[in-house]
Amino acid sequence: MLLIGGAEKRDIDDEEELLRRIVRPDYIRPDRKLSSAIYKTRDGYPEQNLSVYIGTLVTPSDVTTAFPEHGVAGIFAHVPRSQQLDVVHRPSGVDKYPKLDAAHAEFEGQNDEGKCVVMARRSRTIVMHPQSHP
Amino acid sequence: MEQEEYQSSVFSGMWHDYTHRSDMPFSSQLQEVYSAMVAAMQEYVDLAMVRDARSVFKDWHDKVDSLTELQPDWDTFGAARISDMAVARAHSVLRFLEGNALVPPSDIKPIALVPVASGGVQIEWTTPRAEMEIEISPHGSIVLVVTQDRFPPVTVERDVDEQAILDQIIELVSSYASHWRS
Repeated sequence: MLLIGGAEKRDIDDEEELLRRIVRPDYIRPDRKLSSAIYKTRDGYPEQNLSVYIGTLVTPSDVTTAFPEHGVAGIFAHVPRSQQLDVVHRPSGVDKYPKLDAAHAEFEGQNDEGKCVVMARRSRTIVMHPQSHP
Repeated sequence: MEQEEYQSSVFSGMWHDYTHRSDMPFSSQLQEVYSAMVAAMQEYVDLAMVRDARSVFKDWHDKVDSLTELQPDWDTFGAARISDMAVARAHSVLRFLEGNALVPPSDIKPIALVPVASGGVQIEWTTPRAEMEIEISPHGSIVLVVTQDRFPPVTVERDVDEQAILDQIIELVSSYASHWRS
């Protein structure tokens, strides 16, 4: 194991659930499915540094304590891997939210719109966004 | 004048005009009244559909406009401001869909319209058997993604135009309808 930013870097099992913040209420559609936009970032494609948290190292409530304005989605590590994306534990070493930083991981590789749809369909909403539909 | 009052006055006027023409046999007069009424009804249905479409799509146009208020880093991951070109193209797509006379607006209204972190706009549609979304890039180009059933196959088409989007929606709607008829 490597030590990065004071946290141990470790392998992520296929069956580990990864937590992704739901940053907008409309990313949870009226039919309760997640919009694929939750897996799209500023840099477009290929996706760079799509951030998640390892669910065995932090709880969803840890995430919403740090980001009370967001919801939380879960996706198993084998799903992005089935789309030829690597899942890498990458503690960020930033002190603002030490527990989250230690659990920080990233999807790496050539992402595209179709992969985002597949990942969204195979994700689940764990914590609703506070402003989502009741 | 309300639409219904207008329509009623049109029918009354037609009835008077046709039934007071002594140069036509009564059966021909009836036939002409019938034809004129059918045409007027079709015009009424078309008007109602356009009015309905405007009503249905107004909320989506408003949603597009609301995205312009998002500030950079609106997702806390460094998202870009939603670009003017993406906003303009989103309005263009919605206008094209609401102006079509082939599918009722209730069948083509989106289920979601959301911002994309790159500064684009995404619009999504769903039927019980298939889903479709378009991602409008910050530069205004459009990628169309269709997902059949719950999971892949997923098809991705790049640089599509408004007509291709409408065609795909019609295909989704009609395939779902034929599924229920069979």
